[in-house]
Amino acid sequence: MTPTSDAPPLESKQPSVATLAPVSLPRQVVVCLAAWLVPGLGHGLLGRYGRAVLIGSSIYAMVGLGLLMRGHLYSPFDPDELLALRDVLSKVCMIGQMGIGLIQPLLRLLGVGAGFEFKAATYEYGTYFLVVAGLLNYLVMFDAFDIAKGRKA
Amino acid sequence: MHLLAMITFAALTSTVLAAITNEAETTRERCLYGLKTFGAFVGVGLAISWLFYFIP
Repeated sequence: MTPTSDAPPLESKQPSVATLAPVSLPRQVVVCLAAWLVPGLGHGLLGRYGRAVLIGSSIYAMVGLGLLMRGHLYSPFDPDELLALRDVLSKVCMIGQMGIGLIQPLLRLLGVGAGFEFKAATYEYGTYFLVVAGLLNYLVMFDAFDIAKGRKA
Repeated sequence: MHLLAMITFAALTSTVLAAITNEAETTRERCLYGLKTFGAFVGVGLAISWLFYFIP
């Protein structure tokens, strides 16, 4: 019996077996590292090019706008910022910003975002744009891991 | 400036959330999810700002 044309496609919600096939463990590690270091690259390595471009462009746009708004980029190299027990909230911000990946230490080495420009009206916005960009990339990394494990398409 | 920053933040964040959500499979569902998330960000932001407006 042939299906009628108005019958709902049964497989529309079911991802194919190929899309849910897990990749090998070393490749899962590479995908997660790539997703962390370069936002969007993890999805790109898994063949999700559209999502990779969307994720990468959005996160880098947030980083760029955060810096244009004169936000502060915390340094993962500065022992005072990294280890001092005072100012715990700034550690939370730093951990969030570390999610951005390679671009954070690179920009700090170039001296970008190093200053605390409290007088700028957009300083707080800029700093939290940078923090949220990193936090979003942590979520992206978990999503890439789920795809690599075969848990989602 | 504040509204523009909030709308930009909402747009970029909802784009990423729509790209990684588990609640949508097709592109259309992802777009709808992104629009809903964007609306929620902006709506809740405006609601909270009006709430603070009445608090002295």
